[in-house]
Amino acid sequence: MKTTLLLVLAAVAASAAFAQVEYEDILAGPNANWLTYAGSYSGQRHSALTQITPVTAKNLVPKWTYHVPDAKKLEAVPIVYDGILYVTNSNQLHALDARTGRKIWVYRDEQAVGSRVNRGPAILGDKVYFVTSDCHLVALHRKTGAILWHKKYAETKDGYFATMAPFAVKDKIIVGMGGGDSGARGFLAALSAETGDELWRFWTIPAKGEPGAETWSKDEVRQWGGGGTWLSGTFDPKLNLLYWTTGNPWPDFNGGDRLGANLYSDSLIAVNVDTGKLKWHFQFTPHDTHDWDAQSWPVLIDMPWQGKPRQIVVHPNRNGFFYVLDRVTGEFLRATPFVDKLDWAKGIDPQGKPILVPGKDPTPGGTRACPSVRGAANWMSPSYNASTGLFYLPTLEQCDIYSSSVKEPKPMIGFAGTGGEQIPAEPGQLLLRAIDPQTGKRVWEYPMPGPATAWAGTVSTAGGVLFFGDDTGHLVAADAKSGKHLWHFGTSQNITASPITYTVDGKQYVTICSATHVFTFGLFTPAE
Amino acid sequence: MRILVLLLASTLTASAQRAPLKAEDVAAGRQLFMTSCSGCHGLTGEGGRGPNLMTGRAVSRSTDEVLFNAIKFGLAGTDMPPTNLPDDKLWQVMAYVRALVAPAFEIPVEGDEQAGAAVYFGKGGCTQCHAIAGKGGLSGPDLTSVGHQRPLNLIREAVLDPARRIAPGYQRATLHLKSGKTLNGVLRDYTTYDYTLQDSKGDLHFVKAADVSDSRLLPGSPMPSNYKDSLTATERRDLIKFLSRQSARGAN
Repeated sequence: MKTTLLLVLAAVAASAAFAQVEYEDILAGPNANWLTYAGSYSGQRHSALTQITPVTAKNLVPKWTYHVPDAKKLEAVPIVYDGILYVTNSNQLHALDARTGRKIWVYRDEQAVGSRVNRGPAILGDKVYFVTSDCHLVALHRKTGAILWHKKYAETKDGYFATMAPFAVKDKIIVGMGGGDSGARGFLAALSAETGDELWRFWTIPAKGEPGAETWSKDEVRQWGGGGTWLSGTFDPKLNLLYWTTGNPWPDFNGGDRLGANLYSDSLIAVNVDTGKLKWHFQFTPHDTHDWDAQSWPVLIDMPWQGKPRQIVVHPNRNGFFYVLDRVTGEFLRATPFVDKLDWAKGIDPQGKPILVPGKDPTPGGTRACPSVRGAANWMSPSYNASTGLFYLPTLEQCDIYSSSVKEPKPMIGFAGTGGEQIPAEPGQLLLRAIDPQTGKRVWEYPMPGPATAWAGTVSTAGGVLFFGDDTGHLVAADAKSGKHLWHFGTSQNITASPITYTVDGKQYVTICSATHVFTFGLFTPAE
Repeated sequence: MRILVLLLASTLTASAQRAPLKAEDVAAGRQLFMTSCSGCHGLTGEGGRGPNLMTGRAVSRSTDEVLFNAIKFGLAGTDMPPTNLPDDKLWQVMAYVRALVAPAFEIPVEGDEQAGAAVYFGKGGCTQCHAIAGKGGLSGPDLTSVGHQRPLNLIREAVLDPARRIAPGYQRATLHLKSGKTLNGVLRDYTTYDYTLQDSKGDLHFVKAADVSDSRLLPGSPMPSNYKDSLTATERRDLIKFLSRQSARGAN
């Protein structure tokens, strides 16, 4: 007995001394730590933690706040490992004591060109990673903040910038790019987690002569085709496939110079993580003219489908439809509308193609169409709780006037072929909706008064509490089964980030970024 | 409209309003500074009757035009007088003042970088505590990008007089805990309530003040203070040159 105890103690001591983040730790999904942007490779954003329940949620209190100097619009999802919280702002990474919110170290890249939002860091081994606005992947020592390397993976002169949280898989860091609205050619790249050396690159817009190039009527436009990869993706370890969504084709609103489906824009691509080779693709909005990037990450769910277990990927698209696909083959299974304001398509046909309503394309004089340019869903984090069987999705009910330009498209000058504009008499409305992915039906919804300007996501917990940001700057706790309000806290700022949950010293915390601060909450303990 | 905004944003960054510094201007400006400015601002810009030009933000945040005019016309309402020199000489003074606070990487520095690297990795023993690109110890500040993070005068000071200014987060301390344990390292942070101590292996210890029986802040720096004697003048110059060229991004 004594020997066993000593051995256990020795093992604990050894693991503490050599603790570092292994691929297997990320595979295990969120528990004490929060190790990847979407919490897990499946993208379900569902934590195993149970201390905060529908009964105890009313006892949530603020534990600390951290002001991120210079911050104006934080969009970061922090990483938490071993009691340290890592959060990013534009060209900065801050390491905080997750118990107190006190700063341990900060890295600022003063030389970065541009000042884009940043959606968060990644962690693997002893390194914490983030991207700079000008597409450097930076690796820092997770304990000291020492710079291990900077690796430039794209050129700003080619229209690229970076905002995404890097995605650590096996021995690789997967990075993407922004710039598709100005004609940058999309790609997804895998860099070595150890050295930053590039291992493969998949172009989301095919080169001349490659499969898919024939879906563009003009070669000179295709080479600036967009298809951005500006959000993190998901990963199936058994299939060894990365699932990544791509952005709109360019020019966004002016489709006349790019007749055809415009592959692989607005698509879900399944790519072998070791080779970068495309396994399959599915395009949600062929020949998009409404800037409906497919950026809401693909959520991997194993669930019964028509009586049989099936490996599914679900995806709520900016175009207003909730898609269910087979994630092994990419086979289309079903699409259902998740918003009421949807008039560009009558539905999705059995092959997965939209049944278009004529007259919804942008025109120089303007055309009313729904959803809005911001999309019925967007990059705000959804979540899925297998116990309730519900998919929690921030949705936007809004229509816009879409206008197009007759000008010849020119890349790298911010030309998007004009855009979508809100109709003053028809303000948008944000609602959090709980959707049953097996039926596509809405089970409950949580309407939010407000200006419809929030870009806030959700986190689901095994405790039966769903946390999300609302449209008036609150972090809200709701009952995951019923959507009933349990607790809220006002930050007095527009929230453009998603909450996470984790434990330190055995206590559960919930953290969310407001525009300028990191806010952390936990259950009230009288001894404090 | 969007393009116009972008253009405005790029021209408004202060760096776009500063000309690159030239070695000959900085050297000539130094001579002029000694005769015209050092009476109030000190021989190395450390301040006296006039403000410290090395650490204040007035210089680092000014555009060339603002700084040039301040030197030429003086500052109304202060003791700063006009400077009676031709414009090309004033430009040289400004170049010297600018070099006092500019990241070392951006200004010309004398010395042999390769010879400096040999001192850094060899005789100087710097890698025991400092890392560059992951190579070296974890207990001292990371030097991977020190050329961008410090002006030359602060790099020089850190080499020659390390105890004068301790980098934030590197205060040495010993914590005796009520449990009987003793922790040695640097204090990344401390408040009335909590200590964050990093040991020489880089491990972090989060300690509540209530669990500490005795805390000792240790004066000085663990860095050798005798480089003036142990290194030759040439070796010191080359070491400083090497440090001034350290940049995480290289020249891009």
